[in-house]
Amino acid sequence: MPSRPVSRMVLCWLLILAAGLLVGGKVSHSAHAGEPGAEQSALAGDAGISSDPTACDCRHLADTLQQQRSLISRETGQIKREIAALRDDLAKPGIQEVFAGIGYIFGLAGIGLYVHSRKDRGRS
Amino acid sequence: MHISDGVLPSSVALAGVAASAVIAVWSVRRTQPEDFPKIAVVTSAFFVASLIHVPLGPTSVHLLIPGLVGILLGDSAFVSIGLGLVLQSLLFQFGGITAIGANACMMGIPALVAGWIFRWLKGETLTRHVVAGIIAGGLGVVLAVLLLALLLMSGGEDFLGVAKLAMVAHLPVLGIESAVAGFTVSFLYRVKPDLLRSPPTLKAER
Repeated sequence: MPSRPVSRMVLCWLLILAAGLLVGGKVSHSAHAGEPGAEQSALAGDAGISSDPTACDCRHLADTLQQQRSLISRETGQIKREIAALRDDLAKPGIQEVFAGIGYIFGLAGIGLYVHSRKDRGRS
Repeated sequence: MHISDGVLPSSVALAGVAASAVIAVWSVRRTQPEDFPKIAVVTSAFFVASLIHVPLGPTSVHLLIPGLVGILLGDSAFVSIGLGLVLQSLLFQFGGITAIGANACMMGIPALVAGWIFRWLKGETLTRHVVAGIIAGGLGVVLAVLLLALLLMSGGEDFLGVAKLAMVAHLPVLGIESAVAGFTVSFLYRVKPDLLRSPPTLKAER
């Protein structure tokens, strides 16, 4: 039966080939699954960045965002300066404090005169 | 021109309080009760004068009027200035509460000296009165600046540097106050000369 060993050898070879294919396929699949960006980077590399329209949009968006950020920071700085100036204005004494002080001064003079007049009355 | 809290060493601040208390007691004892209304009016003027700012480059200086207070009140000027400074410190936050004694000495002593100089120079005529008023008005500012430099020197500052800087900054104030004192004396001499007489003289005439 010379065909049996041959057929067994062919069968074994086929089995090994199948197993090899199976294992090889699994390994390559797992390698692709482990690197999520790899497929995309490969795609990008194939397509070329400069020719990608989405990349152009992103750069434009980033520029716009940067411009808006500088505009907003300038306006915020202006508002902060105005708040500081307002705080300085509020710290300055107003008309209420002026009249309060004058009132205290005349009030104390009045008390002094009252005490003096009582002393005079006591003497007389 | 007010010294704030924490600028002077505590020993100098305490010495200022002690000195100002002694001078204030002397000043009160020299004050006649009949002069209370006049003192109140002049104190009000002194209290409000610190709000009149003279622009000077990026900053500004305000009127001091120790000379005019001394001319009008004589020996009672120290009480007037002390009360004005306490109220300025409490209501305007001008100058620190702990430095109130030093501030009172810095402004009150020039007022007393200006008052004495005015009474010594004034003579009898209008011209002499006006000249004495101008000199006393300017002298008040000069002495206040010198005392400020002297007090700041105790805090480690250079006397001559501070004195020069403060004097240059207060040159417009010196000019304005001399003019204001001259005009005030001229006006009062014609309208109500009694106000320019020192209280003891006023009392002796009665």
